[in-house]
Amino acid sequence: MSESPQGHAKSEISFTVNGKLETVHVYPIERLLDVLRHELALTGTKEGCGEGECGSCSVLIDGTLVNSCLIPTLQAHGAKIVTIEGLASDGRLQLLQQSFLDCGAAQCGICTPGMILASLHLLKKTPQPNLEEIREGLSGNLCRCTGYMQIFEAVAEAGRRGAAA
Amino acid sequence: VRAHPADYELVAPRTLPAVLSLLAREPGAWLPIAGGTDVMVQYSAGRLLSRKLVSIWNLPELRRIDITAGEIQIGAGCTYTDLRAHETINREYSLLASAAA
Repeated sequence: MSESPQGHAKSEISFTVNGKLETVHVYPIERLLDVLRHELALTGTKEGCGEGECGSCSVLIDGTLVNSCLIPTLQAHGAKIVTIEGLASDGRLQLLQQSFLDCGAAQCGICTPGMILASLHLLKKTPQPNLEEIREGLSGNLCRCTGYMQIFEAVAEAGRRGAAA
Repeated sequence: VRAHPADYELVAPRTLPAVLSLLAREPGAWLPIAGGTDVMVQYSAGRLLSRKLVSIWNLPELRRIDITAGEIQIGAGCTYTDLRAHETINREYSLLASAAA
């Protein structure tokens, strides 16, 4: 990138990502999505539409589900961020992730990280969601492959398996 | 054409009085930004004309929905999710709750 004539300075911005404290040196308005992917190499978070419509770039900030394409990085200063990379531990998938696999809920994979984070957010509030609650919980996430039924079934199955516990 | 992030100044005063004094010092110069659903989309598309932005995110005074006998006051920092989850708004202003989908 070329230097802008009136270029404003980069800032030191710190936050926790998946339990690890990170400090980045970026422009305050840079999208959190880009900082996660390019500065921290956490490419599990996907860019779909880049306009806050599709939910592919969903992450949790202080437990709230947000579209990281709409978050200027400065707004994440001091926050606790969870991305899709933060779910599996010691090479073992979370129950929720395993349910997605078992139910065939992942196809091309672009929406999947956002779907899983939205599902995690839903299951924290509603451990055994019914279909209507699942539809509402995933209403901010678009999928162009599956037709949604396998995804909804995966979330219901994760609830039955006790994924929220 | 993508915007260049160095063209934009974004500050995040920690308190509402600090935000208000910044806005008062240079009237009209600063664009408040909270959730980014409009501002960040314009920014990404290279169409954001305001170059000075002040974050009003995380100011608890603005994240309130206050119900009084005659009116409801919705703070500028409230999210669509806040509206959708609010019992009184769902009961009395269901169209507003639906519009916040």
